[in-house]
Amino acid sequence: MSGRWRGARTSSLTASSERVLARHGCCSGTYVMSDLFQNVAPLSQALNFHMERQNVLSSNVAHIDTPGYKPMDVDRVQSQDFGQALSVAMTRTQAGHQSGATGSAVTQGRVHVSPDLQAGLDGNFVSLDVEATKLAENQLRYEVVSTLTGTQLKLLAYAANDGRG
Amino acid sequence: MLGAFSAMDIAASGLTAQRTRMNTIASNLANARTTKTEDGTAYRRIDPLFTTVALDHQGGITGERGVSKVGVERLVRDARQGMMVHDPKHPDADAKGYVEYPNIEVVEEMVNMITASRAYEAGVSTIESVKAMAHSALEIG
Repeated sequence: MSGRWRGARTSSLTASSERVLARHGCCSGTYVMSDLFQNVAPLSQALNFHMERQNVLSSNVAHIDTPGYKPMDVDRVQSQDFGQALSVAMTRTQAGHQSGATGSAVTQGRVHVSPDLQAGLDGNFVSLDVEATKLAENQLRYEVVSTLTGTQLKLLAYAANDGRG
Repeated sequence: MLGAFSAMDIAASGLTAQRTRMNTIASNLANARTTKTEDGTAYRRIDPLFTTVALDHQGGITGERGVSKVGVERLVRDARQGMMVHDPKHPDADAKGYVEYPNIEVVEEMVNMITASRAYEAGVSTIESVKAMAHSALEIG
């Protein structure tokens, strides 16, 4: 009895997903897969960005005694900011809904020498307090994005389990 | 692509450099009264010379620029003249009866030692931070 019920349930699910495919004018399975994970992709790019920035900041701390060294930092290319990188995940599904801000889904960085710094006696520009603050801040950002990624995947898992845990 | 392990490598290169510096400081302090070295002259203090070492990695978000490891290029001998003490009975005295003592200021070495120690701690806390990030990445999903 329960087996028959399950069967009916599965077929109705298949029918509905076929309707979705028809509406998108696409029937390849890969499209659906990328659609599923489109919310995760920008988050993983943000993770990469912060990990790369952590590398650059670690390099600054390591060069605290290298004469003539100037500390570097990474900033996002163009007008992207943290909120925008996250809001890419929001897309309008109904005409009546408000549109989420849609930016580029790519988080790209540009390395530059930090401006307005004072040199020490050996011509080294690294100041430990500035770098330590940046490291801590960047770590926190990474952890926030990583938590969000985990939540996104949990949502998918929830949907995949038919909302049963 | 720069990941957690490359950040740890970079920080570790800083730790190695600071440890080398600690070794030179130890050597300087230990030899603070050494009047004769292998070439017959008084000991003179040594300092490590740090330099950037390129990190070979491919592209990534930051491209090729930005990150580099630290390396010790060589040890530099401080050429300053040491203190000359008149002591004709000393075995290492010159023809005029003067002995050259090493050019080491204990206070200067102690300040260097504290600086090196703090820089080492900064490197360690960088590694801790990267470790925490990698750990939070492991908890995704």
